[in-house]
Amino acid sequence: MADVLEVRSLRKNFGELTAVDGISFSVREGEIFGFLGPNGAGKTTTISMICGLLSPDEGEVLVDGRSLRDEPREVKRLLGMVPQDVAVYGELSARQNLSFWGGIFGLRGAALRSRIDELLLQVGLEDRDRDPVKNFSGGMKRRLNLAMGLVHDPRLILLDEPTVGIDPQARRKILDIVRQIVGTGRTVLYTTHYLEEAEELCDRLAIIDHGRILALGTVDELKAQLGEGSLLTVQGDFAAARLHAAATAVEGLVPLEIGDGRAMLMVSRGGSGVSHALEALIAGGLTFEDIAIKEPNLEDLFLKLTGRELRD
Amino acid sequence: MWQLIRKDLVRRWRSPLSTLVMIAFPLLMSLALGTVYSGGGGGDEDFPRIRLLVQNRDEDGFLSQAIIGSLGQEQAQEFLEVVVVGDEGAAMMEKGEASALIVLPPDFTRDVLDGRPAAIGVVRNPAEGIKPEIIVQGAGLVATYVDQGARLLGDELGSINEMIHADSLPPTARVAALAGSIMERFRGADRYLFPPLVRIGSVKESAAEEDSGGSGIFGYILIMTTVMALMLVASRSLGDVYDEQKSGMLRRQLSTPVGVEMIVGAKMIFGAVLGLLVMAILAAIGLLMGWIAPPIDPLGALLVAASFSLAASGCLALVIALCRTEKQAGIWSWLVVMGMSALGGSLTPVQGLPAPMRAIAPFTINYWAIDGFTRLIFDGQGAAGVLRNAFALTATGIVTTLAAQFLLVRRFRESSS
Repeated sequence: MADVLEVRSLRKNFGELTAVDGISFSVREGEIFGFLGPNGAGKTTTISMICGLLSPDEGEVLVDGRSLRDEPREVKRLLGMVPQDVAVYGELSARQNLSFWGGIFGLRGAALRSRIDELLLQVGLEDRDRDPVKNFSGGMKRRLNLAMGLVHDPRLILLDEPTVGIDPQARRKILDIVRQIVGTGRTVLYTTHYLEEAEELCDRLAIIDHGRILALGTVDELKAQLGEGSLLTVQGDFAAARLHAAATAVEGLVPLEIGDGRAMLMVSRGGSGVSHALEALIAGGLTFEDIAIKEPNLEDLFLKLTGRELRD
Repeated sequence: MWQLIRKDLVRRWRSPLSTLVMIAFPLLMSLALGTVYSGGGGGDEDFPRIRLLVQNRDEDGFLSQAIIGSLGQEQAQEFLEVVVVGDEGAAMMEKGEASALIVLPPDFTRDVLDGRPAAIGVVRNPAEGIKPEIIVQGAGLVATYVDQGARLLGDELGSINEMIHADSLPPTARVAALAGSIMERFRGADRYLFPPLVRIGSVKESAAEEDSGGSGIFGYILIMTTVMALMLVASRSLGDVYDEQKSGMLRRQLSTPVGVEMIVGAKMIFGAVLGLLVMAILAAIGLLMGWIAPPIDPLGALLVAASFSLAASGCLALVIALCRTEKQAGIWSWLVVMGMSALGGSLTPVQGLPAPMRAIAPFTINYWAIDGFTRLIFDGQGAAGVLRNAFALTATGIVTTLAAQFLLVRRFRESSS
């Protein structure tokens, strides 16, 4: 599959702060590519550089093989930006907002009207299309916000945290719309700090923190970086060095993160099992106050990669 | 560009309150001020007569008699109901039976003729608003005239007094000599004394003529206030760019092929277009109300209106561009609108401003716009008569628009980064 977006060594500094630190990735046609990271990781800065709001200090952005630097207007026509903040005109109706946005991209007349009808139906606002948007609920505004980014039928849709601040039902609706969009052959770059969304929605993911991509691949590929097996988390009154020594002596037990009083360990499937691993540790003189066993997820990978939790 | 302008026009159409206020403002101001300046709009006869008590303690003094006589003249009777009273005057005032009481003191005439200080006493009835104030001002005027007259005709007044109180008729030759002497005095003082008197009289006359039409004042105030209102419209329209920045719409638009230059340019054109629309609505209402009367040269009107809209939009955009925050922009644009309005004739006619302010007036766009519209509407001039105005406004508009465009583009480019 061809790459719709190619980002090469993108870097952006704000004074002393390096917001994006030389990241590279590509997004394939027809996929949902997730950009997963905590707030302040550099997701929005990256999106801003991709859609031409920010000039990168270094690096290049190519959309459909065309350089944003060399052909900014043409490249921007290929993009549909859906910002994190709901950016709609409250005085105007949903139809008027979409009409304005379509007009900006050169759509006119019957083609524009037909496209607006289609979008209103898709986002479920067809019954409220002439009401002032200021009277809409938060979820309805979010849906209109999304539709405005789709009106000119872009090649690549940039969704910057489109579900922030809405209730679970409205979130579910947004996710359904995104799936529909991709079902019609569009390509989506989706930034989020909601792990469940990323796991559920994205074909491939990049985990980003401090402006760097820490891991990239499908959800399964990323989980595989943790190894196959169960994740054992223990808490108690122990020293990190002692637990590390005891854990490395047990077959199939891989320390992921070990600190004084808290440790995360992977018990591989090929090993002797969780109960055997625990027995071995306790036999080694360690005592635990709390023990948790679960299947590993991306949160655990993020913890492993950064030493902190995604929502920190 | 048109999409951006149309969007703002539709937004204003769907949320018209601020624009309606801007339209209502000049109309209400014209009504209110026009009514005051035109004497109530219904003619002077609507103003109630002032009941004035006069207590003459000078008794047979001829000057006091002359003052009382002049107050009782037919012309004064339209406004004054003069009641000569004795000591009961004070009690009547206590009961609120008149607007004011004038007390001519004992030996008033003698003191005036002898050059001694003489004071006319005035008692006001505070419950009657402006009426007692009119009497106070009038009494002050009388005192001034009496004082000036006494100084000028001191000897002659003494002779007149003697003649009045003589038992027999004065000789004809003496009367003739006295008349000749008085004439000589007046001729000598003519340059100093009469010009202001003549001027006061002529102003009263011209005001009376204007009252017969009435529309002049309303139309003039409509022009003055419309110019100011349009500056407020421009300020509001251009300040909208900050709202768009805050709501994220500006950022979103910048992610499209539309450049920041076009967005800022469209906002300024929108301000000018909205100003023209508001002006057209106000002109139509002015015509309907009879405040401004045709024929008005349409080309001239278009020239002044378009150039003023451009200038107002440019000036306010520059003010906004020079400010660092939305709050600063709000305060400064308001100050500039009010300052230009005060100096340029939107609050008070330029002719009524003190000389130093009149000298500054041509540096305001209000001055050129009001002068242009006045020439078209009241002086009957055509497009050729307002070319200077249109040129001054257009030049100001172009310079300020370009400067504002440069600054705003730089600002929003930086802020999107």
